[in-house]
Amino acid sequence: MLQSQPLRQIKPKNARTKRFLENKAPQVHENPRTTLFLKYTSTSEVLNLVMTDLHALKRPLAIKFNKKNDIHPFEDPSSLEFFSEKNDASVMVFASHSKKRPHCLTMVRMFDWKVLDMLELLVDPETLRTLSQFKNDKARVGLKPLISFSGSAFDSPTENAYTLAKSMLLDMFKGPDVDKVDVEGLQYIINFSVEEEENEEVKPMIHMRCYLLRTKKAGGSLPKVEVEEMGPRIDFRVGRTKDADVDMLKEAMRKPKTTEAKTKKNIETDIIGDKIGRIHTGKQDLSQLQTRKMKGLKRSRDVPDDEDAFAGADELVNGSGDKKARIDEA
Amino acid sequence: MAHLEPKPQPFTFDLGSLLCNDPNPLPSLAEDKEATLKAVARDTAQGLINQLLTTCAITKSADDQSLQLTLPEPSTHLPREKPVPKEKEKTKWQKFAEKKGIKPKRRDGKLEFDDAAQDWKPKYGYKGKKAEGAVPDDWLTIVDDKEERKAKQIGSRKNTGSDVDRRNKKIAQRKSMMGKR
Repeated sequence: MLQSQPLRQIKPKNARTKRFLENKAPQVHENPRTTLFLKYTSTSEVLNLVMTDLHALKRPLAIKFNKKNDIHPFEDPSSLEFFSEKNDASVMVFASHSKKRPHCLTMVRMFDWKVLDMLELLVDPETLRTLSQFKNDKARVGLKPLISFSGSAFDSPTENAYTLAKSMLLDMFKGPDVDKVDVEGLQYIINFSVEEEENEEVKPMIHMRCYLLRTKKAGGSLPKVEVEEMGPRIDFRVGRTKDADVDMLKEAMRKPKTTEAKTKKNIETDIIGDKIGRIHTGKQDLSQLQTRKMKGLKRSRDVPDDEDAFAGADELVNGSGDKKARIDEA
Repeated sequence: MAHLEPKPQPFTFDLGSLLCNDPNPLPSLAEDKEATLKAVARDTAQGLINQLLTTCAITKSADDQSLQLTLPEPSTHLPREKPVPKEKEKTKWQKFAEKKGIKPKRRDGKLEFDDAAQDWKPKYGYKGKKAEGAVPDDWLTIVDDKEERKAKQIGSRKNTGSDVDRRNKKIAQRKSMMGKR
């Protein structure tokens, strides 16, 4: 079995290696995630079909291993971490079949080539239909799919297996982040739907369906959308999960500093283009206000100021203001 | 929205990652499961397409005239693949320059637009602009005697001085000054 040891640090000797390493290193705008498909020593025919289809959907951002690997992701993920670093893949789909967990796909998400979170999805062999069983045209390879999640479980405010599944499935299928998309390229939608939970015992299934989009001209400016199933049709039951480590997740969720300037508070630009600033001044203390000085308002010299007299008296009583008292007497 | 029945809870979208969230509880799948799922998926697809076409700018790409949608930044915050890159440490010179406010010199071009000639001319050097107070190019000119004589004949009549005239005048002036001494 492979031991997880950090790969040898390579110092680039030529420009090509340097470019390769730079591409692999942390970046502000990250490369799209590559998915690695691999299997346990025992798999089922169902799983092989599922893996083939998911790989077909994920191409070209996918790598598929043919050899069997004796890995138990929930016990010791070190081999997966090694594969992740070696192949620069940060999502893994691991297929395993056993009596206890039949037709099990383990989805593993990596951060910095270490396991961030894991989720087991158990395929229902009864309802599986593969990509090739639907006899129609398929979407072109490498297109960014439309993704939708239906069902209230995916929108749960508390973290659960379904919100984790949503996050992972979205991360896996969303493809590269682009700022422009060709209208012709909006060819298919991947829909994940989950039923309502009826009793505590049975967790509802996640239904994955892929449909081709057909737009028809209709009255008005917007087209009417029709869908036609393309495959694969997979139903998952949710198995074990491993949530992300808090510190690791915090590091993973960190946003890089952007070059665009922060919006300054209280400064706005109105429609005409004039800059308007709002200033908040404190409340003015009117008792300290200096009004116009007049001779008639001046206090006379022989009447001592009331406050001074009181202060002197206090200190005399306390016996601590000797000095002051003496001055007063003088 | 067009071609879409209103839902109890509205869809939410993340157009940057072409995502549609449908928070409505799924209808029962007890009978005709596939048709129900298809209907649900169709509604989300319709909602997403409507939202895309109404809120995103549509442009024609320059090379092949295909229509393109300009997507906003993805709003769903997903974990990163690798840590945020560390900022490179500044060199000693960069720190010093920052402290002193030294900025790299802006290099201006050698050419300058000449309004008179309506053309770009070098600021200095060969074919360039002449410096202030420099000796003009036509400081010395050759005088054609024959032409001058002709001009003189006409000039004497019209009483306009030619170059030769001015020369002779100056010589006479100098001679008279010599005489005075």
